[in-house]
Amino acid sequence: MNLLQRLRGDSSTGRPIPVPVDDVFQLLRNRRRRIIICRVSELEPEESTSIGAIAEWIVSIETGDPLGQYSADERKAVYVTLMQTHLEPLSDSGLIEWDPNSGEIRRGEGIDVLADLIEDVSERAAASEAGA
Amino acid sequence: MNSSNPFTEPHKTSEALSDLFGLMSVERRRKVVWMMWSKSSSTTRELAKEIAAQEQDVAPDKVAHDDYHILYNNLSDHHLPALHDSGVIEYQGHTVRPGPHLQTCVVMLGVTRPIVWIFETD
Repeated sequence: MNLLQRLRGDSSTGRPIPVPVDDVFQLLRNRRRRIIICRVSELEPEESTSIGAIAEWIVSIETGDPLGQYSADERKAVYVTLMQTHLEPLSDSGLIEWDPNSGEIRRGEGIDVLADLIEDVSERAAASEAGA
Repeated sequence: MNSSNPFTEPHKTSEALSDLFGLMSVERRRKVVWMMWSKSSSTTRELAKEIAAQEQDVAPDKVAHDDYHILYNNLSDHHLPALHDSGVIEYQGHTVRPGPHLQTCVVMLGVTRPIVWIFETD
């Protein structure tokens, strides 16, 4: 399903995503939160992932090293920023479901719309920059 | 980065995106983007009149002079230079034109309200 189809489908209920507009853009202005949104949107409806797995995913993207040649300290540093900064606002917005006790993270409402948006605007911004 | 990675922002694009999303969290900047999307050119004066009218829910010619003046200064001192620096608009003198990232911002704003028809005319 592409962005157009999602917007068409979800906008029949009035609002494509259940988050106030200023908050949406505040959430999306941070690259790590964009990475989390894209990663969690890949999960199956009942599937969960862990903070550690997401921290590892972020480090592999930021270091450009998918083979995991980064240090435990790098991973821990990202883990801490997830706990302190990023998971709570994403969870409060309802985009992800996060259980602070078990550490499990699941898909929330509207997350696919934003993951598609990130992918779409990333391509457009890259194209604009290439042409600029 | 391996091919199964769904997150494809190159680093340079990533900084531009963070910047653009941050800009779009401010209502007056969103209004400028919507207005410039339908125009090839505008002026600080015209944007200030229209935004003041929208904010006060009156016709553009009914906007109080002081309100217009405050909004004009706010646009020319803050919002328009910020949008220019990020490539959303081109702001020179008192003239405003669409910049290379305007369309990207319109797509961002589309997620917050139904704009399906925009894509259907692509």
